[in-house]
Amino acid sequence: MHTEHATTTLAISLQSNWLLSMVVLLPFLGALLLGLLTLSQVKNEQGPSEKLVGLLGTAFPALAAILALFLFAQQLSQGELVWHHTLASWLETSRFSIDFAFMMDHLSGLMAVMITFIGTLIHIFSIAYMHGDRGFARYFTYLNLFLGSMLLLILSDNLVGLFMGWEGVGVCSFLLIGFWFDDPAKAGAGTKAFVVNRIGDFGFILGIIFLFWNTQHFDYTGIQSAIQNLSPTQINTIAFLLLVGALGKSAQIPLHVWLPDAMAGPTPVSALIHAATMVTAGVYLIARMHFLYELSPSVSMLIVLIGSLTAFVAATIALVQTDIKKVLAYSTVSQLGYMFMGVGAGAYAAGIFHVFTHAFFKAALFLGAGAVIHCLHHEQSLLKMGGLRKKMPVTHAVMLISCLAIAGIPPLAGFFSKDEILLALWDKGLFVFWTLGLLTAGLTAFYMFRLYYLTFAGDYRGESEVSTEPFLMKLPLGLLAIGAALAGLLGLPGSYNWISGWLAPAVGAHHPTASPTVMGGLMLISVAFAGVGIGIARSRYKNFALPYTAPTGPLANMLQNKYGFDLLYENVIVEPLRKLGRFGWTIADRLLIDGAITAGTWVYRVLGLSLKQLQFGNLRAYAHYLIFGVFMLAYLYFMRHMPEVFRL
Amino acid sequence: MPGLIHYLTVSALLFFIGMAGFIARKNIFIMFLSVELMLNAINLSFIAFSRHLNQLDGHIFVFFVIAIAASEAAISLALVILLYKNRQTLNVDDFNEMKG
Amino acid sequence: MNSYLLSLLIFLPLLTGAVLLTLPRRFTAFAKGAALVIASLEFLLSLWLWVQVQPQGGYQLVQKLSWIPFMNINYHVGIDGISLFLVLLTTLFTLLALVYAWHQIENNGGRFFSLVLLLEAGMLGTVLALDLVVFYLFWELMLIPMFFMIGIWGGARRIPTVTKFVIYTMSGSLVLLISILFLGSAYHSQTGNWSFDLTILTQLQLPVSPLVDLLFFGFALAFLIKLPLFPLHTWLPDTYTEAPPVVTFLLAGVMAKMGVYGLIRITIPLFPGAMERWSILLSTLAIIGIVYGAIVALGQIELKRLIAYSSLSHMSLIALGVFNWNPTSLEGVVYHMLNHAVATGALFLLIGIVEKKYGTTQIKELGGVAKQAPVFAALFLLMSFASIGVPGLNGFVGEFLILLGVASSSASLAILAALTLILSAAYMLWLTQRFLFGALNVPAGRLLSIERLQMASLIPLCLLAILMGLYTRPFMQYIGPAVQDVISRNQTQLQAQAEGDHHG
Repeated sequence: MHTEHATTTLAISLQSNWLLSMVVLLPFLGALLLGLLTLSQVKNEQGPSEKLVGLLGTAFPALAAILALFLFAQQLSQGELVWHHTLASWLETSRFSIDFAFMMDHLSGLMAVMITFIGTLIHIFSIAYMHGDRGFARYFTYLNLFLGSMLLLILSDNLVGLFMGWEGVGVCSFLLIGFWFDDPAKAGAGTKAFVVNRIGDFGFILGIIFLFWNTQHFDYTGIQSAIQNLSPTQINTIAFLLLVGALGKSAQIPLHVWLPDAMAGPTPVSALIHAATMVTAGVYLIARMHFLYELSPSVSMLIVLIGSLTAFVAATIALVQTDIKKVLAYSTVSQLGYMFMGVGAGAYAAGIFHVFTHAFFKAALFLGAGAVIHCLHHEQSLLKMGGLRKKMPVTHAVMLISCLAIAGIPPLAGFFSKDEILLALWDKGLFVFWTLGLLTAGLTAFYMFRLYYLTFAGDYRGESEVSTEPFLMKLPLGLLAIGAALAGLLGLPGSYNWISGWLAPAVGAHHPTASPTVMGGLMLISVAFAGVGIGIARSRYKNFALPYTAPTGPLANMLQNKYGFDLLYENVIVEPLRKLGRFGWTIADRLLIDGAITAGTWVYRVLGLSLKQLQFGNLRAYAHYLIFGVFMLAYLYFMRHMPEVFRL
Repeated sequence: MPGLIHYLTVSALLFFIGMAGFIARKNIFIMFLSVELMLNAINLSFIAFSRHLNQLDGHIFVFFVIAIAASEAAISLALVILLYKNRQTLNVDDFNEMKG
Repeated sequence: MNSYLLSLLIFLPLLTGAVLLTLPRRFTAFAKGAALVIASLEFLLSLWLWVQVQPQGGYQLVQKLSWIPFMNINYHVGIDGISLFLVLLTTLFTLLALVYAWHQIENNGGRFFSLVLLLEAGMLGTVLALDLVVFYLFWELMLIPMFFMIGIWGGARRIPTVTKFVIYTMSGSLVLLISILFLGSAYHSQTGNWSFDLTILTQLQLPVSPLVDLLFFGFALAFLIKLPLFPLHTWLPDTYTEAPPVVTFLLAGVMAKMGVYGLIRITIPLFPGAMERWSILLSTLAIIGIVYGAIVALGQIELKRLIAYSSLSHMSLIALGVFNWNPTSLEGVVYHMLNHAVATGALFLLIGIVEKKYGTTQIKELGGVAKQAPVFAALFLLMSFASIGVPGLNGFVGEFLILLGVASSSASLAILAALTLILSAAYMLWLTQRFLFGALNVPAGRLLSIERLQMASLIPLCLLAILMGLYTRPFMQYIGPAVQDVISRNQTQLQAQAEGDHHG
């Protein structure tokens, strides 16, 4: 009876594994369809009908979400089930072949469900948010394309497929950041994002290449089985190169500069791409390659170092921002730093757990901010908000829950995942970084509630009329808030931690060694820090009134300048390169190379000038030359062959 | 009975007369005639040798030379006429546009 | 029948081109139509060739006719998996160029079209020739129509530009001719027979000597100029800028590839030892070309010159793949030749439209074009992405394979070459940012739109860019065995040489 049941489920899984490819293909299909629709209606002022586009654009992600959920449910019921499907061959050379092949294990299953689910919600939200925009169809094309690339990234069973998705999401990010391209600043932000990401990809692709020559594999299982044969130097080099890629995509110091600028895109895009999904790809990569990083303690330490620095630095910058999206952007960078601390400390499941919870509360925060911006008619300054609690009750509730979640107040999502990471740091004896993490938690609570109070408390400080949020916004907001409230329950501390057990087959098990008393103490400390942060924010911003005096002093200046990263890059790298390109070629090409060649021609010119004296244009003189030459030749010939002629 | 040497002597004389004319005269028309003279001097020696060696090669060469001389005459005369039309002179010393 | 297929391919455009060229001006319409028909026929023929050629190593459809018996010079042509795609590239690009030029070239179009046919014949002959003398003839034949096409239909500074182009190219070719003759006589003195046959000469055992190295460079110079390799590149930006866009399309798309092809087919198989000795120097020059071209592209203020320098950067990457000479890099090289042709070619065609409609290609006089011409912007963006190697489009496949191949011989070279990833994104996207995006800024009263025929020539390129990025099998299937064959023959020769040295 039991075996019969097993064979049936096996048969089901064998028959339905093509659905895995469909999960990836559906959004691409949607993008293709919408793209053709957009192009066919390009002459039309109105563009294709919003209803049709919205329906199509949401249907494909929703279908993908349903399929992903179906496959994931099978996994839930069958323990160790890993889905595989090879869609097509991509590249066959004489040395290797690479397929479009997909693999859904516990890690990618969780990620895929999360991405499709949140992606669908954000598509729904976008229908309302982008209403009336000329680029409505174009927007949904890009968004579908993004979702497809993201799923390719997550579900690919090899690094090359992952890289294709990786760059694909980068392109979509570029297109969506610069979506309103008539604003040069927005177009510039897109370029910046892509180029900075390319710096990461530079390391990433080299890492893939070196990994291949050392293991002869592109797929994870193959790499994992061959990784033991590598020398520590090789492991460290490869781990570092892959990390460079992750730093770029996940906006970690020193490659974090693009993410705040990326807020130029439409707000749902910021929610989906620049908060919930794409930027966490770096964390996913490290968790996916955990077997590599486990062998490289030094690079893992580097990850913790970069992660904690990023978390802290970004949190401090967020303190002085007055643009609602900028605060959230720096908060994202900071939370990504948290995730890096987790995976760097070897707690890969904790890192992914934080990715998971963060996706919900950060998406809710961004969509909430989007709703606010929408209702205030594209006003983004916190100084022009206030008192929205009564005017937008749903958004207010969602934002409050999400702020509490990100601040780490139990029993909301952020508390559990953040705590797992801090616990892992403590466990490893990384007390310095633990302290940094704790400080960051306090700062996070402070600036998030600063945002909350500035937006919702006090009196309304803006001029424009506040409209109400439409139903299509409220629905996703509500669902995300539920996630933000409850997602943490998947990872209760101690032995109830479902998510850590779930991810163990994919990223390895990690059991905290600290005693329950220590764990309890640590939790108390972090909640206390969060409480203090919230308290200070409440006292300073609850009854905020204009005029706003920007903080002054050297520290505040440094924060306003974002520690000078942008200025440094602009002045030390970008401008000199542009100048070099602008003027360098005139020196190298015109002066040196062409100059040398022109100098060479002078030899011939001088020769020509001296020889042309002989050509004075008198025909009879030429005749003299000719006859003289003939006689000389004859003379030489006879001298040589018949000298007796001259002896006559 | 004149022998080979007589023919060659005449040929050489003709050739040098032609050459002298080519060098000494300024009229392009006369120079052209001198060239023809030289060509025919060569023809004469070809024929003489051909006869002397009992081979036909010389004859063949002569035919070629005559053919070429004829075509040359056709083209050159046309050129000379054109030159005269354009410049109203046939003095070669006046034609020095190609000087370097 | 099949043995005449390649000759038909070469001589059909040669003869028709020559005849059409002599037609008086009043037959312009007829000449253009006839040329278009011939070019379409050629393309269909080459498609049929794709079916005929087997995916295996070695030359196929070989035809060998005695031409100059006393020096044993033969008309010898053949095709393999490498030349197959250059043939397809040539015929497709010729056809697209004619379609694009139909309205674009207004002055004396009949002559222009017949010159394009002659150029096609030259390029096909170059790709298919297996005898060095025949190869040289076709190599030179390419130059003649190019000379007239730039010199007559070019921009304001066309005469100095075409002079520079011809002098550069000729100085390489003459050295090549001398080298061919020298090698032939070397073979004669070694064996007592004459031969200029590539398949025979590659078996020649050459000693390690400065003279052989000199000969190697004699054989490489012409190809390195055409490629071009830094510092032999200064003809390129001028020529690409001054030539009419459709000519630049052929020049950058197809003719530059002849340099790469010459290296792969002739120079390196003839001198495998010298290639190994000099690969460090040549690779260094290629790396300089990659970085230099990209940085200079970053600083350009004119569209065509920017793409020209980006082309230098890309071609240097291809050259690096050739110099590193292993199966993976070489497969990448052959693939990337096609990619570069598609992406850069399409970009030049698009810029040609800009030049015609707006009357300027200065970046500062243009901006926000996406607002006025969304389809144009979409195509331009797509091709930019293809050019900078975004996965899913064709450029990535070639770049990835070349980097992979280079890394197998030298990690440091691969790291330096991978800089192209960053730099190409920087100059290309900064260009799109200034040119396509931002506030609308175009010459007053001008409207950018793509005409139907221009669209017809661009669509195939766009489809190719996507297709070649996702479905590589129809190409790799042929390239792989051919590359294997070339490399293994090279290996055998190197071994024989090593043994010869050992015994000597």
